[in-house]
Amino acid sequence: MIDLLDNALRLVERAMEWLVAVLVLGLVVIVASQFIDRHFVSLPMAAPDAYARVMLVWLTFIGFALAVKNGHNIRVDLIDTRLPPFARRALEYVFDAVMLLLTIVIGTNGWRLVVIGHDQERLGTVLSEAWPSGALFVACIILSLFIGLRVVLRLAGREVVRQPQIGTE
Amino acid sequence: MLVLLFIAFLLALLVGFDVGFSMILSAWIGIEAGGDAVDPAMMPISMVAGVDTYALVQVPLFILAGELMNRGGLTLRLIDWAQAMVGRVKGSLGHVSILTNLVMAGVSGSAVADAVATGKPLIPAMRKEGYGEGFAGAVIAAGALLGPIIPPSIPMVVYAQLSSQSVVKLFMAGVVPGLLLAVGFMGVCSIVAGVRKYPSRPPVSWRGKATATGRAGWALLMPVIIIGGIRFGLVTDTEAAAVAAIYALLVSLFIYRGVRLRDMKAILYESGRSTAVILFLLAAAGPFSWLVAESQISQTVVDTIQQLSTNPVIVLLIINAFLLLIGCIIEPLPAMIIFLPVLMPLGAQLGIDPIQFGAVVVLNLMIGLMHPPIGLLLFVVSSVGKIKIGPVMWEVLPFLAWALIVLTLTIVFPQLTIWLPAQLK
Repeated sequence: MIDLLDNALRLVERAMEWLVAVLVLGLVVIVASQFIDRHFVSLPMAAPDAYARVMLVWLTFIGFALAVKNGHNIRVDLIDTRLPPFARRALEYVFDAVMLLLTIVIGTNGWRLVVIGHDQERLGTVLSEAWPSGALFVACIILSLFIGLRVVLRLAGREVVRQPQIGTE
Repeated sequence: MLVLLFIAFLLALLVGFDVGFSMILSAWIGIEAGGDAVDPAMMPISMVAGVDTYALVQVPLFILAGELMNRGGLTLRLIDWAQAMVGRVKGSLGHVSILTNLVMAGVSGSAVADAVATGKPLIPAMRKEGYGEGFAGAVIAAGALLGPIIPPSIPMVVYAQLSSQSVVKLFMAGVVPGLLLAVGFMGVCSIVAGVRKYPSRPPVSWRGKATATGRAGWALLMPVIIIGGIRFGLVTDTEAAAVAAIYALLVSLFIYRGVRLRDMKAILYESGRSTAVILFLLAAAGPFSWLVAESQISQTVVDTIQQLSTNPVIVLLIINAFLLLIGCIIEPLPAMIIFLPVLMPLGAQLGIDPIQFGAVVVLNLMIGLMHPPIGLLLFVVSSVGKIKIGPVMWEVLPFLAWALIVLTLTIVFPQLTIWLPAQLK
């Protein structure tokens, strides 16, 4: 059962990786099209910046869910790396529990925004205001699944490898 | 109560909980403790609003341009070019590192990426020529520091977002301090090389220099396109990022052939993931800003510091001493996002130019990348060059001293940061 869930989430992870890659490519195309539109050829696209913003919101939240899954999120590892193994393990359970709780809180409140935003037009686009809020909601679902699986794997005695911290600057 | 929450946030941060979630956690507890006064929907609203901004679109694009530049072989050609230019100087590889990073800084905006890209080839080369391992690591760390100071700069984009300032003006504010850093770092290299008698390379003829410049020409053009394009109004800052990414892609794929089409998914994904990690902090800063505002921590800090002095220079020096201490425990970008809402009102109240304030804060926090004990660049060069971190921490001190001198100069002489932005129409 755990293996089945693990495999299913790996498929979700692959799909999300492709989504992130496509979003970055899409941003390049949209921003470049504005440059082309201004200097060379008039392109029939209304409010490209509004679409770019929606894509950026999706990129942020989905990309962050994947970063948490692989341990690439930003933490200050000043104290926890110096703790004895049992204390570190206990701390990781606490971290996952708190993160799961917050993800559920944000997700449920985020769903309210999706419902409200569904009837609100996003200016200049064919999209509704549910699109950016939807990114947070979807990311919360994916993140909950990733964290939930991580807890289950730990309880089942399977090692969860945490990546070394990577700088962002 | 809210001050206690702020302290609880710092504790969560220090025990290793995710930085973004630490901010959200403290804000959520604050909201729940306040009863029905605040709707918890404020959290997702402010999180989405934190990143739903067009100016931030340039973050993934500049990261992508830097990634393509490093993977596509542009960096290696820049190193060859720098060797041809300054190879005959004593301790030439140190100068090569600084010069290469200076050009790369005009494209990537990321110190860590630059340290990895230049450290991999140059640290082994320096060790082979008899340079001390500590110096080899230190000079790479110092050179990489230029990345987020010289435009484009991701920390400057984040500051612009937090403070509602012009990204382009902030970019330009980094030029003079960045050049001062580079010149000083080269001076440090010269002194150390002279004392330790580090070798130089045979002189390269003018024809050789021209050939090296031709080979690196495509890479050398990148910063010209970005900075020149923005400075002369041909492209907006965001468009410059897209143009840089497309240019790097075309050069990497078709001219230098360092990247293949099948590598593209991984490059795009990794750029996206790096972006997400940074921007999620901005999203989390939304609810956290509420906590900062409600707890009136900003006002307490403003009052406390104003009791010490109302002289803008003295206040800036106090803020910088505080940020340097913070830089010992927290990475620069999270530190900026956490403490800027607290410190910005102080700058505004004392009439400090927000562009100067931004340049000083970014410079200060980036110095944190190379000061012991947790300067991230020290660990990066140690890992990339497979060298012990102890000697690197020792050898980085002269570079650190120069960086602190430049920081002090930018505080005392505002013109160093505000003159160039003022020239923009």
